[in-house]
Amino acid sequence: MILAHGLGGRSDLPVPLWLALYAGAGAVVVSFFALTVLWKEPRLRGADAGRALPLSLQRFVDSAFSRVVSRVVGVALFAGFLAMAWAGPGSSADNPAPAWFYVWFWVGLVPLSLLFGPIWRRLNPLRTVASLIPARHRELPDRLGYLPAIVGLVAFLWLELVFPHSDSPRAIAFFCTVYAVIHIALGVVHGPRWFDRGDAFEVYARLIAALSPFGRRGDGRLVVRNPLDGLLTIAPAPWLTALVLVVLGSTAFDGLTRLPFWTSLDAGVVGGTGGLAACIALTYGAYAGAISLTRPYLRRGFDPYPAFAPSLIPIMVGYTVAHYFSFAVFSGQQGFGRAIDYTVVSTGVIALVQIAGIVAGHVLAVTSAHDRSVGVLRANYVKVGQYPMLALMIGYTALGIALVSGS
Amino acid sequence: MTVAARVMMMHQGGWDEILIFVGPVVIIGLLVHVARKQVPTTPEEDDD
Repeated sequence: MILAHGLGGRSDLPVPLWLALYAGAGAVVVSFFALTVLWKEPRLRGADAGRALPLSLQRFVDSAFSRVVSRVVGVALFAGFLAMAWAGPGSSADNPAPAWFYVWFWVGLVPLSLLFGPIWRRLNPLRTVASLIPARHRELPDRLGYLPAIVGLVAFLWLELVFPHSDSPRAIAFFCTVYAVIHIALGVVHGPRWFDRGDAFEVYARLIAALSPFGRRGDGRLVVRNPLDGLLTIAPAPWLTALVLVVLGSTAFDGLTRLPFWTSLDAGVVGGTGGLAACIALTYGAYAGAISLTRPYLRRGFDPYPAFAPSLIPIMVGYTVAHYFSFAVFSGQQGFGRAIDYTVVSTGVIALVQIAGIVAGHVLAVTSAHDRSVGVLRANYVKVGQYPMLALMIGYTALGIALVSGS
Repeated sequence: MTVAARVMMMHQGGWDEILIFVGPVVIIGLLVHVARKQVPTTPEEDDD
């Protein structure tokens, strides 16, 4: 049986819905009102913030040796994965490639980026291969922003969540090969900047890495910093908000497909594609509605879309952690070529991580949005001007918890 | 019909589960209502 994530599904013990829902929404509301009392001025400093790490560590990280090693490791891992996906057994029951791809790589990007910052940029085999092919680079139009990354992301999400044979090693091999050829070619044409804007996986990993306590200051020094400062280092660009909302909407769709009513629908490819599009559209619509209500409260000259886009990233990360934690722990074992041991983590821990992930993500988002609001909202309306975004975050929290506990 | 039976019937109908969602929906509605009601009518220059 083929289920979401391309691999066999899992069913977590649901947390008590009423308690989780009210506690989650309550945490968001309480943290908001506490912030309005205690946080009156913008405090986050973005690229100026952070305590410098020892120079010896920075020298090692920036050394040619570590760069070459990380690139070789990235290319070797990708080559091994492709070889297994193309030439290994044709079933996901015998071939670990699907678990490597969906769990170790896609889900693994989250902890990897949270713990070590933008490390995937260093490991990215497509960036490495493209850099080895000499060419005169053509400028990438600024107006495209993150649109190319959205295209790649939607293609991957469709494969993962809608395509009926998403766990087929050959289907994965085909997708990854086509993806690699396209992005290497565009990387050769447009240079390294292509991967900053066009490679869905690198863009996704870099947005998550912004929440890492490790990053680079404006002066290039490696620093340890408040993760919320990292969010401010994300340069506003067209389609950034849409990119984050695509991830949020797709995760909501993934939760939706685990509810009994959806499985009884037998939606098929067309229904699944429509459901995915509808979830992304609804997520986007809710955000657009909140932004439209916020607009009258803004100081002159501020565009609310890019102003609040980074605040969505903790929600994206929190919901991803909540949603994929048990999937990673259980289905990730298939990557070692062994049967799943469901006793490695208790259902209580799963429930705790799910709720903590969603609530922590939203509290961080409220904090980040509040700091931004203090700077961009009219002085007399700082509190009431945040109500639409607060309403949005309560809605996302409630929906996220409901989907997680209903799955 | 006993109270217990009524509660059971309500549960079967899903009304108690709907109530779970009423709280967040009411808070969201309230916040949106206040935000729409207090939209600034004076120019930005008049702010403190």
